[in-house]
Formats: sequence, C-alpha cells, structure tokens
Amino acid sequence: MRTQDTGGQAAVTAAVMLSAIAALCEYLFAVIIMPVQAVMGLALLSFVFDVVFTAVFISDAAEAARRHKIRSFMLHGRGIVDFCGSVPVLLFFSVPSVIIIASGTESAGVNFMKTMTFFWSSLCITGLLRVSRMTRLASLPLFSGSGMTERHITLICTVICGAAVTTGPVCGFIMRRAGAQYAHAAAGAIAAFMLFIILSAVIAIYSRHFGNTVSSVLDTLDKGFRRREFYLKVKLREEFRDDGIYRIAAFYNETYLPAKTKQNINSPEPAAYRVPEEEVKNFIRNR
Amino acid sequence: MSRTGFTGEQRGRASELIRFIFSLPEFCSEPPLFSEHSIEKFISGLGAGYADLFRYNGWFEDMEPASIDRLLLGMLHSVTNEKVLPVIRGFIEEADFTLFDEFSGGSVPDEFRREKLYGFAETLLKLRTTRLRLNSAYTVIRYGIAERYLGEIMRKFPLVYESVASVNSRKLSPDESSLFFKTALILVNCRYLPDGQGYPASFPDIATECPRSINPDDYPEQNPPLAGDFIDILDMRFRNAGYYELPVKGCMSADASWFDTVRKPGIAGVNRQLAGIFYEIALERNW
Repeated sequence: MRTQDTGGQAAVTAAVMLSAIAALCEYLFAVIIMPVQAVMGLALLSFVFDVVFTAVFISDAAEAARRHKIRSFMLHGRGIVDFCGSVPVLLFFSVPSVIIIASGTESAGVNFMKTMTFFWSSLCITGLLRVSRMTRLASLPLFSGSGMTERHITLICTVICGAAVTTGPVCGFIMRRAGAQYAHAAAGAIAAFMLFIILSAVIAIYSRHFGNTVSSVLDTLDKGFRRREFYLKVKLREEFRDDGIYRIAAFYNETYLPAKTKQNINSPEPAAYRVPEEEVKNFIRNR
Repeated sequence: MSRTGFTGEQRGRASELIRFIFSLPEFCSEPPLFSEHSIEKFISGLGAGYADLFRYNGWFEDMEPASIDRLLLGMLHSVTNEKVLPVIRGFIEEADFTLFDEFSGGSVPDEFRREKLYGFAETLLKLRTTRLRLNSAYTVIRYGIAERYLGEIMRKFPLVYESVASVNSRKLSPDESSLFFKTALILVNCRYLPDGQGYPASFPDIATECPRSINPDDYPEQNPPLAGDFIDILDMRFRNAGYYELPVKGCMSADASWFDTVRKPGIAGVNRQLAGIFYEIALERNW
C-alpha cells in the first residue's frame, strides 16, 4: 500500500524510525546497564510498536489478498520483510516478555515464556528484525518517487535484511565463544562475515533480478528500435506492468512492432546487416 | 585461369573471404540467403573502399574494382548455394511424390518429379527477383516447421486441421500434408517468375488447388482457414524474418512474437484466425 498524503508519510516515517531507535536503545541499555524500569519501559514501547506493525502487516496483506495480489505482495513487494519484522517478533519475543513482566511470579506458564524468550534472544535477531522495518520507508513516494524505484530498493533492502538476519545467530555464537577478552577479534570476524553474506546475497539475488527485469528489457528494446529485422517481443511480466520500463515495452510490443512488421512483410527484400569492415580488413591483413 | 577469367589463387582468396564473413557472429545464425543479401550490399557499396580494403598482402592486385565485384559476388552466390541447395535436395530426394499423381491426372515417375522440382528450385536461385523468396521454403524444410505446426493443429484443433489439410476434396494425412505444404512453398514462388515461366510439369497449380478462405474475419466459424492460408502464413513468416533456434533472454519466443504481432488487425494477407492458432501453439511450446 502506498501512502500518498504527506501527513501519512510523516507518520509512517516517524513510527518506523522510532521503532528502530527503540530497538537499538534496548540493546544499548542492556550493555551500559540502565535501571530496570528504563529497560522495562523500552520493552513495553517496543511491544506497542510490534503490535502496531503486526496490525499494519495484516491490513496490507488483507488488502493485497482482496486485490488478488498476495503472491506479488509477498514475493515481489516488501511482504516478506514486513512479516518477519512484525509477527514472529511479537509472538516469540514481545508477548512472552510482556507476560513475564506483568505476571511477576513464577509459574509453569511463565517459565515456558522465559525459555522461549531466552531461546529467541540467543538467536540475536530481534533488533535486526525491528530495524528491518525501515524497508517500509522505500515504499514512500517521499523517498522512492516511483513504483519501479520502490521495488528495486525494497528488493535490495530485503536481500540485505535476509543476509543480516542469517548472520545474527552466527555472530551471537562467535561473541559468546570469544568472551570479552577477544571482543576485538570477534567484532572483526563478525563484520567480515556479515559483509561476505551481504555481498553474496546482493550479487546472487539482486544482480539476477536487475538483469531479468531491467537490462534484458532494455537490450531487447534497443535491438527492436535500432534493427529493422529484429521482431521479438519483450516478455512482459504482469506483476511489473506499472514500471516505467514495462510501459515502454508494452508500447513497443503493441504499437511499434506491428508497424515495423507490417513494413517488413511488404518490403521486397529483408533488412541488411552491416558487415564489420574492420574485421574483414584484419582478416585480409593476417592472411 | 578458369573460364570465368580468374586465376585459381584469386578464386581461392575470394572463397576464403566470403566464408570468413559468413562465419562472423552477425551472419552465422542468419539464414544464408539473408546473410548473402547483407554481404552483397557490403560488396556493392564498397566503391572507392576497394583500394583501402585490399591493400595488404597483394590481395586482388592488378584487378579492376568491377572484376573484383564480379569475382566476389559470383563466389558469394556459389557459397550460399552450397548452403541452401543441399537442404532442398535432401528434401526432394527423400520425398515420395506419388501423392501428386492424384492432382495431376496420371501416374508420373518420382524421378521425373524430383528432377523437375530441383530444376525449378535452381531456376528460382538463378534469378535475383526470386532468389530471396526461396528463404521461406528453405527455413520451413530445414527446421521442419510445417510438420511441427500441422501435428499440433491436428492434436489441438482437429476441425481446423481437416480444413487446412484438404486439397481438392482430398483429405491429407499428417505425412502427406507436410510433404504437400513443403513442396507448395517452393512452387508458390512461381508468382515471382516472369509469366510463371519454368513451372515444373507434373505438379498441381498451387494457386488453383489451394484456395484461401473468404472473409475470415467476419465469420470465423463458417470460414475456417484453408490450405492456401496455411501456405501464405508460412511464406510470409520467413519471407523477411529470420529464424531463432534458441530463445533470447527477456524476449517472447520467435514464432510466438511474430504470430502474435500479425494476428492483430492491420496486417493484410494473413489469415488472423490461423495466426491466432499458430500463436497459441508457439506460446505453449516456446517456439
């Protein structure tokens, strides 16, 4: 869903940024040892944000389902990042934490909640998932300007978030093993490992996506507009039909190509390719 | 020196040069007759460029540009014939032409028909006006296009197959129809010969035997495509458009692209109903 009004955009931006800052502060407070009340206050604030973003995700998903675009929303939009940044965090971390804080006493249920939050915390991904909500900013016209930019930025953000979340548990394990004495070495190893995963993911996923949805379309259009004999149509992808590049491709397919084909059919002879004179000259020179 | 007035060395060099140009990436995947057309334009357009092109290693020294032209163009046609004629000859030698006895009012030895049809193909290749027109027959024979589509039409559109593969009230089997249409695609080029000269005896007159449907756009159900429409659409398909053996990244397949373009209103001479059927098949089979 694209928020068009400036007030709405500002509200979304504020919520996303506050939620990310709250997530970062929660970690920071844990490290610099702040009063328990402050940590609990932040945990409750983060819980509120988790509820809000879960509600927003459910609303966006329902809207996409109503328009029969749920697959596109989840796979080509930011659905997957929105889901990961809201529902699992709420269910496996926020709600158990709030229950533990609210109950104040020991019981089988509370112990189960403690085990769950401990396991979840050991994955070291809560902060990453909460910060990943910033991907939502890519959908705001204020930042993206067009649907195509939004999609590409969203994909890059999704790839990076995916890579970062994957590295979370590994980094946590390295830090626990290293202890305070080897913190510098561990931090270096983590930074290098994260970069390795992020670059691998961007190169493997995003470059292929860009090649399929931008470069190959432009290459086809270039050949189609320049060469008389080229008659192949651009393969249009329904989910991207609003992208500027696909709108040009649709014009090429439906208007330009039929006119060119008509001219070619009626022409007494086919188009002639240019013989590369330099290569012919080199051939003669080398004989 | 040969009877053409060129020495063996000059002919050898001309042959090397022409074969080299044919092997360039721009030309090796194009139909030989189209490549020949491009190379012919290059040679004819050299003009004052001869001196610059052939200044190395004594190539064609002491020869007038007009002689070099004659030598290179003669060699060009001969190399193209080497590529085109074996395909036509292979088809003619393997074909069983007894089918045509039913259209010519008597039994004629196959050998006689082979000789006549091959002679006709050679005549078409000798004349500048008809040479390029043979590309459709060449492509359809070389890549088995007719049997490909006839098989699919029979499977998916049996009524259309019955209508297309009925010639002079005779219903043709798939093998017979494939042979008939390939032969027809060679014979149909007689319309480009002066007064239909050289039409091979013992073969039916394609224009009379294979009518086209009337008003196919107005009442498609009452006017199914006929044999003439099938011949016309394949003839037009490859008249000025090349064949792609492999799919091109980001593009719709070649046949699907072409038939999708011509099935829309505005292109005269194409049976749109049949073009739609070809498009559907090509899209499904990725042809």
